[in-house]
Amino acid sequence: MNKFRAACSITGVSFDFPNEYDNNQHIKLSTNEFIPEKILGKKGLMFKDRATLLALCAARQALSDAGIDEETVKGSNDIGVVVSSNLGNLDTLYKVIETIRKEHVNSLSPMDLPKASSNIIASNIAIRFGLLGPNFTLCNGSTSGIDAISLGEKLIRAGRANKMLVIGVETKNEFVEKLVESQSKEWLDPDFPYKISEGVACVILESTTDANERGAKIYGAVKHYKYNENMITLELKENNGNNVRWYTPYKAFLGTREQIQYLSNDFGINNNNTLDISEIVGDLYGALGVAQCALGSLWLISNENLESIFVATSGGNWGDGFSSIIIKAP
Amino acid sequence: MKLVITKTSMITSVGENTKDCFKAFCEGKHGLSDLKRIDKNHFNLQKAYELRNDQLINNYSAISLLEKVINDVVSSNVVGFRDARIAVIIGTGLRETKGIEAWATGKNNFSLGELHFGRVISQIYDLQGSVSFFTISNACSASIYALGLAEDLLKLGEVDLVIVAGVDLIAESMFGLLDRANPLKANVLQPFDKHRKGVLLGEGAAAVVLESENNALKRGGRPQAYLRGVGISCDAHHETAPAKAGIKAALSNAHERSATFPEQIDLLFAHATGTLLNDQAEIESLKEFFGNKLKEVSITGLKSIIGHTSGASGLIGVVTAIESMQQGKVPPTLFLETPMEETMELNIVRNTLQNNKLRMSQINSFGFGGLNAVAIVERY
Repeated sequence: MNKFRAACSITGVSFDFPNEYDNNQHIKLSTNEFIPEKILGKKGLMFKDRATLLALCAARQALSDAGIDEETVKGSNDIGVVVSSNLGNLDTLYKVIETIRKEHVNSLSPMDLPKASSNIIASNIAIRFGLLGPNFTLCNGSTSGIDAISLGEKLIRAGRANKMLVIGVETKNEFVEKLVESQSKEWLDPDFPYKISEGVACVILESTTDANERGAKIYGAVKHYKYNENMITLELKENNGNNVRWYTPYKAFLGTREQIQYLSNDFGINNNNTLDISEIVGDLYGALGVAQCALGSLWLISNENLESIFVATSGGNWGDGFSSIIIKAP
Repeated sequence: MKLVITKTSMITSVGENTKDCFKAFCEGKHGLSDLKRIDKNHFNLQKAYELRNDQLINNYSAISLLEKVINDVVSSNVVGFRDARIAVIIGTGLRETKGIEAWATGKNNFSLGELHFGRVISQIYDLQGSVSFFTISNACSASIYALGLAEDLLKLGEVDLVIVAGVDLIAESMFGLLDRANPLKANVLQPFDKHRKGVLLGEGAAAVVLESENNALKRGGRPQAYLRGVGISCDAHHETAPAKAGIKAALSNAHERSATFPEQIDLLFAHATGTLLNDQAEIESLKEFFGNKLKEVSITGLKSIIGHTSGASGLIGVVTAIESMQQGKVPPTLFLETPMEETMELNIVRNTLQNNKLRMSQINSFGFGGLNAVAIVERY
């Protein structure tokens, strides 16, 4: 369990942006209402919050995409979970605090106790799939999704796990919208059509040696990660221009299209090969980085070019810094 | 690579810094009081281990508390920081939930960027240019999980120095749900007592600087203790109840990573929340893992002094363990009247213990969702 490992790859992905519609060639969005029973069956879903249900579904689909049999992972102490979510349990907190304020704690449901802790999503994934390895919940603002992938990769390289399920999930509800609205007034151009969105994505990270041993499909290898306070550039050591795609932060927090172009040039990215997922589906906040890596992985594999690279950058919301990660075709 | 802790800080309901807290702990003081910033009329529980109002800059902000402990470890230790690759990892159970609650009930302004701590901490002058900030919300074992991640980042060579912190204020939602879920309505936290009635929350924060011994000596830092290793595990069993198998997995992982044996442990800071299930599961797991060797270990429960400080509690334990080994004193487990039968043969510290030979300490921390983390530190 303590063996340090040299490299880490992406071997499974899934995502769902319920109720969001788009025809973009790279993003197939769910056009149906989210019905967890269809994916998870009916058992054990009672009292679960929406973020947990979204995450459980994404985990199941990513495991399946990675060709990992759920029965074989049950009880594994070398498979862990990192969840990135900022807003996941705010609906529960708001409901509870309203009840206390208007009535008394005796009017609360004790079933809400576990949901008052932000790590409820990650612990439910561990329980459902029997994953005994490291279990982290990262609430790191708008860089959180990228940071979560980096964290998962480090846990594998440090020998704490050989596979990590990294999940980004955010939910939208009345309370979240009210909170975001108060922020938008302070931070954004009033004419900008900003919207917070709901979504989930899952990326399965695996030690490259183990992935090769089991003959897994490899989407890409995790390369460099960087957090930056004021800038989003990351040195592209293996840049070859044409085969680089940049998944950008939400332009709402980044400035104009010209500025994005300028930054792309800085990266050495040709052909305006940038994609702002948030422009299409709305702001995924702490889930964005994982969604970028899930979609980027699909792009890498569809591209069939062994030199391809994508850079995913998240951040900038409400004064946050930026995190970037580079994933290279296997 | 040998890792050392070169600076520590803590704030609890009985003190403003490491020195004052440890002195108060050993003098048998405690922070239990009537509710201060929570409206009593809406709760059955009437007591907690809140900070005093004068200890907080903002009654609804864990950030101000965090800034204080981080500034404390940074400002007096700044040599060599400017060129170092630094990560800041913050473990918290409840994040800025108290701030959200205050906003929801119209008591205070709130910014979404404050829900996590990186933005604010990145503005601390001496940390500008740092490489990464992680806010880890891993329930009551958050700060030891954070310490484990710090160990990994250093051993992987990703950074030169890590500031690890833990912080929690009492959120009314969590306090209220714990109140609702427990019919026994505790008015004091009594670890290992046969008649214990459950947990009472506390407030506090801690921070440490962790780096390789080489880095510390090169930049003129003063090592206080070795971090031998951190073990982590997940029960994957129940959302709130503990599981012995998971606890034992973390104990075993901690000793494996630390290259230590149970018989080397002199002092054990138990998680000891004073709940029926947790104390039982912890003691049984320790007995099964340590065997007869457990009788030789001095065991204490800090939560009887400062309450359950959630995500901060583990790191407060680490800071206290370092003081204990340096000063040769162990804080007592307070309010222990009728010890649980399972602890009869064990050495639970009930009065401040003097012992200059303490060399190795273990700190347990377990959280909701079956999150277990165990740290082992050695006197430098």
